[in-house]
Amino acid sequence: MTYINIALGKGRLVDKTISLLKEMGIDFCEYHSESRKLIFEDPKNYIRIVLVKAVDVPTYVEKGAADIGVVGKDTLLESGANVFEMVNLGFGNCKFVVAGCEQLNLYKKKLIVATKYPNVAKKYFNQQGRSIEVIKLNGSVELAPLVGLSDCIVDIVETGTTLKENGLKILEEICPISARLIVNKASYKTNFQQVNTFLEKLQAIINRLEVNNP
Amino acid sequence: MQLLSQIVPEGVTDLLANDFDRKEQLTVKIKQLFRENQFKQIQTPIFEYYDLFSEMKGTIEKDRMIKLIDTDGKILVLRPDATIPIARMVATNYKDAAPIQKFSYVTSIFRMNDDPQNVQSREFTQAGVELFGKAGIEADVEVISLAIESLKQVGVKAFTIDIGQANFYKALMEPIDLPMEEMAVIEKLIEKKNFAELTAAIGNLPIGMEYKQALQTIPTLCGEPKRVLEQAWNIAVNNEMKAEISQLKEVYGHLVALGYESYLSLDLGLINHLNYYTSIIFQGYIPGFGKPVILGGRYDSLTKQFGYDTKATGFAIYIDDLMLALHNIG
Repeated sequence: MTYINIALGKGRLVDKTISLLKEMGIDFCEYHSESRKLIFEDPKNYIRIVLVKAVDVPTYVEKGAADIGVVGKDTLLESGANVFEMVNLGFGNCKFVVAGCEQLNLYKKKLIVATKYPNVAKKYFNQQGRSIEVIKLNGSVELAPLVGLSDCIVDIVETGTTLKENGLKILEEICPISARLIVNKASYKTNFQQVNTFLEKLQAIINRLEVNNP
Repeated sequence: MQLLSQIVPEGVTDLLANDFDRKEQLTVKIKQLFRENQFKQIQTPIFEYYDLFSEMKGTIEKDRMIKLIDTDGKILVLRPDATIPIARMVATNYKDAAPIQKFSYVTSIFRMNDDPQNVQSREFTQAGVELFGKAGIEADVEVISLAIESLKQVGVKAFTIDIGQANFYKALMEPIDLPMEEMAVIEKLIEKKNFAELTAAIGNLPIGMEYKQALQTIPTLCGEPKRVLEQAWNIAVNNEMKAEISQLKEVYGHLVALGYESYLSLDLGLINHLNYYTSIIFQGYIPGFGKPVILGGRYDSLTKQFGYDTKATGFAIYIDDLMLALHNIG
């Protein structure tokens, strides 16, 4: 047996993933949410987790530095990483939207779009034959239309509270988002037994949870 | 100010004496193995007309070719693929020669960055073989065996040759009339083994239950060969699919008889992005290295596009990736 390395993006998905792993009998006794450690091991089950910045998870997995990763569909879409996207974990649900001031006409002229996700934004508009200019921001994207930096934004929305409090409205919905389990292609092929057993166990737990809270 | 005279562009690199030596030693071993198996080395031009690659069905993405403008305004591209020019060369020069031709090459390939984090993403070396004029199982077994021997020759101890069957999926989809974009979406979901979204995408399609069942099963057809072959047989909806499975089974059987069982796995969800492949396709993986180091397969209809109908199969080794993988193993 070799260790399976799992990359987790620091932030909202970590605790949910850890408790999901716990359901599978995989336990990182040293882990608590205040810890500064970046690597945790479960030597009994040969599982190791590494905590990385969420946007880097697809890179770690695509390059084989981690065999498996847990990442939001938003980050995965933006990265375009060449990996297997095998399980929809069913948590971290939100959606990609175009948002702006209520009276904005999205079809009038070439739009200026502020976003943390330039690839997703370009792809969405270009697929419909609409050209846009993208301004890449790293946070507080809602501010951009308010201060005249952009016409609208492309961002993920969970409840819509932030948008509402800043006077923005959802103008178009792009696609739903949830946490995904991604797998490095070489790991899946060269260590099939171990990785596949892990995936089957995980899928069984998720199915059970879905039956209990539909 | 940045001095462009002192740096090299992204995606290309100098090879210092030590690295060059390592690369040369590796290539020499592989070339020798190719020669011992009667493959004759050839070379195609470093640039050719854009039309050769752009008008060809199922070749590399147009955005990824590195283009130049000729003096008369025609568009040229730096060699973005080794197999297509060799198919052209065979069709134009070997039409009247003996039907079976065995060629090998070691050559630079040029593509626009698909991976900004790979140092050699725009110029990289491929070594490979192309076997023309031989249909059937015997040729497939010969080529896959040579791929396995190549990796053994350069000292890779553990690796996996993952074998698929391009026609199995194509034969399933042939009677289904769907818009190109929808087909592309489904292919992508199968290739990514994205079961959740695949189920949703198939649900709305105007196709029969047995087709839906088959589409959903295809990405799971990987791993333990016996089970894979059996399940594949069960979901086959027409005789063509059954024929492809029998053929795959036979190829697999021959390779096992040659003692290669520990290196083999099957994956019928392997739908290569270069869709000139028509039948048996395969990829070579080394543990701990994220990308395939070998890509290969049968491409029986490629030379037909140049007016010469002959069977063909071959593979390419990504030499720089192989060196990196070997370095990682230590």
